[in-house]
Amino acid sequence: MNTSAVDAPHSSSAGPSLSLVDLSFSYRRSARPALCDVSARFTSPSVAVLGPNGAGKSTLFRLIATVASPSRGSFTVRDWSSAESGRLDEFRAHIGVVPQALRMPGGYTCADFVRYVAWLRRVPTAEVESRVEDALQTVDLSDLANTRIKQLSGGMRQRLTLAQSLVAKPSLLLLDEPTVGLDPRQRTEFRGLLGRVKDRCTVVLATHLVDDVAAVADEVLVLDRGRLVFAGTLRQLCPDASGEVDGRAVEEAYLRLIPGEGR
Amino acid sequence: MRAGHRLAGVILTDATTGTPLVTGLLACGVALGLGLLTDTGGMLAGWADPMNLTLTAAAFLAPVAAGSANAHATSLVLSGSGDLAATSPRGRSAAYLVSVVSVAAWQVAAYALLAAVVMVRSDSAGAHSPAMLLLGGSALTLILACTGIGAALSIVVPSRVTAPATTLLIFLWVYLFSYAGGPARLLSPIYPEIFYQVYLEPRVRVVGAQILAMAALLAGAAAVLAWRRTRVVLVVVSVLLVAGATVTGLGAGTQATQFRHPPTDPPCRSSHGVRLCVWPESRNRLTEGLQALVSVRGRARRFIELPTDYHEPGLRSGPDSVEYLLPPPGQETFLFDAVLAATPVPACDSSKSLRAVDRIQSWLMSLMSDDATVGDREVRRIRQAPLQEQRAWLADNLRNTRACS
Repeated sequence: MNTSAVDAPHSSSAGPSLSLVDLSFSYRRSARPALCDVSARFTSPSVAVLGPNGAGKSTLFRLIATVASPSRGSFTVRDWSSAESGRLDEFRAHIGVVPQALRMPGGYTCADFVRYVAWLRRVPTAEVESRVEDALQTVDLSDLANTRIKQLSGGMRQRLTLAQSLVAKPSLLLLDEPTVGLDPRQRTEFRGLLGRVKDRCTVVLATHLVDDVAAVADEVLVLDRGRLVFAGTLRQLCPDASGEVDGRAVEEAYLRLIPGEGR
Repeated sequence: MRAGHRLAGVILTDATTGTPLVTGLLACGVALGLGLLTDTGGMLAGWADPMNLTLTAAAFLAPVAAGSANAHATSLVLSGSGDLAATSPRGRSAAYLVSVVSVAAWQVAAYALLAAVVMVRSDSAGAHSPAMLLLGGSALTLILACTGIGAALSIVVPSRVTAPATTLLIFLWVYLFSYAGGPARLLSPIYPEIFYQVYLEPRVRVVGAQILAMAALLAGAAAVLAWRRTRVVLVVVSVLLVAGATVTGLGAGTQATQFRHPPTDPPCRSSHGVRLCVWPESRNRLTEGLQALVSVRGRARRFIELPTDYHEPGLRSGPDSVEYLLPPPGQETFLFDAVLAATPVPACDSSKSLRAVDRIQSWLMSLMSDDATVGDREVRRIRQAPLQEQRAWLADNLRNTRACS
């Protein structure tokens, strides 16, 4: 996992971008596993993880983000496997994470916060300033680099959370419900940004918003109560859709898979 | 080196925004206020008293440090920034490091400000010894340990109410135990009641043990922050218990002060058969002290034979030399203190012995003040009695000072 590989546009012919093998996780005080024997293999640059509340989306997100370790099984991202803990730091240095409802310190400027994350991700000192500038430019926040975060609107803040996730030039970008709390216009803008970003790295998007899935994902993983319900391409999820798959088609397919959600 | 600069830059950014900035400025304001408003006029020359004053003031700074660190670290937990850091190669502990250091830097700066103001306003021309600097070390360790404890508590109880609760609990711990009796007294590192005379300095064993215990608390807090495991919390609780036991064990039964190393050739002076030796720092008050002793001995001579050889506590002395505590600067009570010095010491704690000492002292007070109303009825009566009767009464009481059966 080197910098040039990260910089290169993603190619589906490069092998699986993400594969899950019997991935399981149980919380200590819970009788039911949060994830149970989930196996899937994805080759496209963007994967959406879809499911109702409590399906295990955030748990899967935390596992891939290496905040928690699988109880059983493993996952592989490009050439890194969760089974090889020795290269964990190297893996972490090349992922970008947009957590759900991240509250950034209001007193920091936009550039300060991205710089802080660059330090956390061990971005080489000589490259920090150019990376910060690039990340802010990608999300159209260059003009607000020296503006304090508390002065930003909700949409701008969400763009900044995306910027911080890009500063390490990640080969894997993890997004947990990134458009929740945004108004429709901001959502559309944010999806546009994700469309730009997914050319550079593998994007894994955990969401319950079908429009996000339709706009961003090439492949979809549907979970329900910790179990795999569907894994495949967007087209396989919505075989009846004519033309481009839109949110409505995804919603119909999703409700067929998890009927209880429609009630 | 460059990595160090980057870390410094990250800490500087964190320290100059949000909670660290607000509480840091508050701490500096409190420090400046305490430094400027505290009366330093009554303090003795040297480092011990000013350093002890800054240590006492640390009882106000340390809780602020703990609450501030807790609030800042809690926001790391509740905002999701901690989770974000956990996905990075530096890990969550790096985020805690930044937040704790940015708070601690302000609190240490506040203490440095306080110490500087107090030292400038004090007469530091007197005695200096490394042991006195231990008090400053104790204050700094207290502030740092409380900062660490505050941050560590954010992991155990991540709630917005933990910060004020921590501030209050730390203040109660430091303040209340400073007034406790027995071994529990040693659980507080501050000594607001101690007034360092020129011959005293902090007892290295006691203050050193307290510094070690606080360093152990800091290390325990760092372990909790680094590993965030329940097992670690249990280890830290054990460290707490061991630290407390160490302090109380090492310091049990001992005072928090000790005599300074005495000079080989202290200033001494004699007059009218009375000799007084003092510490070099008391040299300018030697004459007044000696005059008071001569005066007491001279006036009592017709009635009772008083000691002729006196020395300030802590000096090497002969077997018949008696301790004389010179009054503190600003208090011109030389005669009163001379009477206290000339009064015989009880041989034991028997009521007869103690009463006899008390009577002789009252009689001497009455004699020196020329006030026949001083003392109890017995003393007032005997002061009116003829010379021979007074002599017999004094001889009788002098004998009773040794009555221990």
